[in-house]
Amino acid sequence: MIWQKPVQAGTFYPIDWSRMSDKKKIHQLGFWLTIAIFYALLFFHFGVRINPALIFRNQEPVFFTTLRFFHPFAGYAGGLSEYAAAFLSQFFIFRWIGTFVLIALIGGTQALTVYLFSSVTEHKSFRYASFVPAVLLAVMLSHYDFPLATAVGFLVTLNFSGHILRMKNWPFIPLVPILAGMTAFAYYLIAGPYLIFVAISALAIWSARDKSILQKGIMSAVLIVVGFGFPWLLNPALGVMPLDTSYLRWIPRSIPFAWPVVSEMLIGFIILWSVGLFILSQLGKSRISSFARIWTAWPLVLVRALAVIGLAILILTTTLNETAKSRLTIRQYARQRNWDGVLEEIRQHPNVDAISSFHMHRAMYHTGRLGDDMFRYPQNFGIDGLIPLKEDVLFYATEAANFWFEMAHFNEAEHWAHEALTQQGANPWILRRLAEINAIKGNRSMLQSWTTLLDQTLLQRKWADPFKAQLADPTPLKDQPAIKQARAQWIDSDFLIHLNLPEMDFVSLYRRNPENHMAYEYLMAYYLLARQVGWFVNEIEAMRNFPYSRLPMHWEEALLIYMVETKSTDPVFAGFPISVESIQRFNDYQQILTKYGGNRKSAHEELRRKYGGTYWYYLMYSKSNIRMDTGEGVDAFTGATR
Amino acid sequence: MKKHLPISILLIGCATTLFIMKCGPPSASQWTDTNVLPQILPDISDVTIPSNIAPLNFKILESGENYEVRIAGKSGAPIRILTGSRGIQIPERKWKTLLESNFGDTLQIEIYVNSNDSWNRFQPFSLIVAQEPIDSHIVYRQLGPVYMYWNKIKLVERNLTNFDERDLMNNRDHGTMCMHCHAFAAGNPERMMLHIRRGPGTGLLLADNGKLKNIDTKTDFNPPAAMPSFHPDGNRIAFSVNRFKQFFHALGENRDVVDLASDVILYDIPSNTITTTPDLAAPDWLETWPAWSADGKTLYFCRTPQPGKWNLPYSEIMKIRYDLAAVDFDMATGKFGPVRTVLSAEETGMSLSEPRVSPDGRYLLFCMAEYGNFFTFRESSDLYMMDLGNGEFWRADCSSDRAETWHSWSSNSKWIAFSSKRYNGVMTRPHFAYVDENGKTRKAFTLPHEDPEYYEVDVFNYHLPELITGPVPNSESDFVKAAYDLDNQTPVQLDPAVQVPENQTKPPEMWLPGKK
Repeated sequence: MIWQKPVQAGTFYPIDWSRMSDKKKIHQLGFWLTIAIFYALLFFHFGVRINPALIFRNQEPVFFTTLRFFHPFAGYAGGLSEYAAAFLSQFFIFRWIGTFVLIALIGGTQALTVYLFSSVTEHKSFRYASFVPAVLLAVMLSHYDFPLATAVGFLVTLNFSGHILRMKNWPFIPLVPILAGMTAFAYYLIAGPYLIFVAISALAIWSARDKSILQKGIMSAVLIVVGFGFPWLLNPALGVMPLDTSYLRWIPRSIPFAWPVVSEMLIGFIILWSVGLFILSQLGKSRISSFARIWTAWPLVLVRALAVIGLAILILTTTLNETAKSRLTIRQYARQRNWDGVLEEIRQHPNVDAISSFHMHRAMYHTGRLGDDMFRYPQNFGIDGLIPLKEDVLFYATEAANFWFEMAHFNEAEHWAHEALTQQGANPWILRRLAEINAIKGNRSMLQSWTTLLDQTLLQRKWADPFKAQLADPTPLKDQPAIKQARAQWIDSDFLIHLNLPEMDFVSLYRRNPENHMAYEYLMAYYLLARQVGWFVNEIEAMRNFPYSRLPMHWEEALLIYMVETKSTDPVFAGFPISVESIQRFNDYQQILTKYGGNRKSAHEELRRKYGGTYWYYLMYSKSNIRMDTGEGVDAFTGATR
Repeated sequence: MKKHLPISILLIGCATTLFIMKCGPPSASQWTDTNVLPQILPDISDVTIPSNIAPLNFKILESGENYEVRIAGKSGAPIRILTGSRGIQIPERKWKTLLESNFGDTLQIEIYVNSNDSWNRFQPFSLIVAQEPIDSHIVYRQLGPVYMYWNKIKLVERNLTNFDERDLMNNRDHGTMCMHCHAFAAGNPERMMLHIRRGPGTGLLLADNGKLKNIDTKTDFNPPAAMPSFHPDGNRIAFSVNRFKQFFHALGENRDVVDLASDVILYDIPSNTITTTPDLAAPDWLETWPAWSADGKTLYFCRTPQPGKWNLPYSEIMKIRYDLAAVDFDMATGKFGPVRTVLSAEETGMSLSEPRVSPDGRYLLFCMAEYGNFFTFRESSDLYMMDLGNGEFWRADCSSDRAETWHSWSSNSKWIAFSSKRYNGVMTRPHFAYVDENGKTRKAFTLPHEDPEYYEVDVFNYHLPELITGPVPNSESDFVKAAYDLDNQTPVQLDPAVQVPENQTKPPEMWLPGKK
């Protein structure tokens, strides 16, 4: 006899090893060993492979410690689970604490599933099945887009469902209002996922003892009426908007999530499994026991344990989106100004998108390698990878703000920081950037606002300290040394920002401040990418304004092209001679071409192998976008010229 | 003993609380006068307020350990607030009583700050309590920094006599639609309209006898209607139809807008017809910002010669200045008279926009700035008042050195509401100013909030604070349902007399929804 004592619904009994048979002890040990291996694997998976800091980087949920921030969340259904998720997510910036939070959520879901199942059957014999929702939730949480509010919603709905099942045998009169109240409260707390609770509870009521069919029917009706009616009272859009944007708010179907089928499987599993167990529980104890006997037979137990571990390994090996991880890692390194990290990540994962390419160029500039290395790395996006268009940069608005800030283009930095604020909310990185911008612009009132908000964040309030010091200093902001230094880079005459040709801003910035080194390097990089060697050479003399000790390698490559095209023989530009090594390599490049009779297609493979990282190769073979008729060189709207 | 434990704990708790309250910060009995005005946010020093306004809570920006605020008038019980917090919350009931006891008189506010065990008293300032109340509610649009993309937008109704507010529409609940340009017929909350765009619910929502209708204002002649002005009779709405283009500056205020094409049209509600005249929709003119006179017999609007091309260089944009023009309107026949210039840009040297006529018909409030007509982004935009009796105009004293726009009148013509960026140059805040019998405005005050520190951390814009005489009878649900009731959306008819130009070219549109 394995199941000596049916447990009271929803009750966990402490394990009493002394009264267990050896067989059961082995069963228990096997179960806990499976748990240990499963969670160890998950811990490794989330901590090492997924990295919660990257989940945070992708989603950047906003959280402030004030009641003012809390109030709006309390004002709509599901707001509180969003608030809880926003709070928990803050800890994701610490990789291992974030991992612990994720494991706790998965473990909590599993524990509550066991609780729920044992409440349905009054047996805790089917606990291996609780690994299934744990696995499904782990899969979902492995996705960098998955919103934590949904996981919190699942947790709450399982908890509520377990409690309802525990109370199902309470007297009819108090139970009815309690059911109604809990249903309404569940919707208020978690919105969409409460439907699972309604379904399970309406079902469980029918297994209640000492209640007539009529009473059970009334209780089910109350659940359904309140469960489906309450949202009508709260949600102004209900019945007007499509279901997925109103009724099922925060059910995973309604959220931008790449694997909706997994979340449907999770919901479906919990409900169907509960239904199955409920049917079993109606069959009578002897039949359940006989089913349990088969279910807990040795070979099946072993198979289940191995299956659980196998599933965990499957998660480890299949759920990580390497491309997404790589792109987020690049963005994370760029935020940390770990420029070597950015370039190393791109070297290892060269399949970059335009935003990664954008960070790649930033990294090269900041490490002084833009003129030497930009064609040694993937250039699949041309100018779009140097400075993406506004449509492409919208969801990376914070990064755009950072980029323009580095280039001392403070108005455009403020523009994109405000776009980021609108789209992503007031996360600490945006707040810090806005504080810096307003300090430079001398806007004390806005600096005060951003500083106060920064001071109300959970984990980044120390970032407010330097701004508090600036505000406390009676010296006008523009005269404070650090701010004065930043302002020295700023332009002193206006121009209209070139929204559709952002590269034109390099021109406008550089024309107004010939000491803006970043604008100059980006301008030169833009000319190279745009294949405009003539424009490039026109600006080469300005090298003298900056501390160059030699001609950067790609610049030499472009200058050699120019010399060939103009039949020039003087290899000295801005006082720097083209290196002998570059001249030899160029000669070799031309000889290879000659060897193939000038046939570019035939010479391609050899040139790619020997000179794939040169400007010559880019000019000859790259099909990357140059965005406009570069012959015009004028933004038609502003009238600005090169 | 166990039985009495909870009661004992409760009693001890109460006693402790009373003790703490009793032993709060000591009141200022001796102090040193600083003879300077205290720094407070929002600035309420020497403002004129209506007798029915909610408490003007504020934050003291002076540093100290304890703060005392005393508010007193010639009659009524004074208010004394002693606190360790910089945020000053004025008790609502005492405030109401004090205001009611001092109609037409002044209240004096004294602020004491305790620092290092000594009290400093700042220079007292006054609040002037006007005889005339302000309309009880405003409706404004709350949204984040206005750039190329929007996300969260809501239309909020706020009760000015207390701190109650509610969302008339909140796009959190129904997608990321944009909503803009709400208007009321003579401040009547039952007769309102609102534009919805960029979503399945795109259209004009019109409140008609308590019900909301969704109307498609687009015709072969015009794109969807934009800036509205309700005729005082509530049966017509004059609209502008515009093609705005947004652009950005590298220095100073970075946002700017140019209107590339615009006309004024008239929507006749009973006949569901859009019409216009050659004077209101002249091909060689840009007409915008229509505004009815109080008697409904004159339609004011702004206009400037059509620059003639979409891609204007900035040097040309800077030259665009709008005149104030008007046409007479025959309410019986629905016919317009010839256009006349009321105030020319040549005369003022500036550009003019957003005319609004006072309900008593005496004054016309408008904005002027150095160029263009979309002045929320023009720091130089100030409010100006024109005496319609003699045509004289002057800069309203309630203006600041930053942008003032989006104004409206109280139904008694004694108060104006407007958006101002005076605090930080970036975010608009609703402000209110008293208008005296000579049309002069007094120093404005900011919309009060229960949270005294609200404006320090609030990073929203408040557009179009429209004063209304009571709450809007419709719920948010009514608005959302009307917005999405596309099966019953009513397309307007175009007056057959209006000629549709052939081969109309359209400039590019700029603002886009930004939801991921």
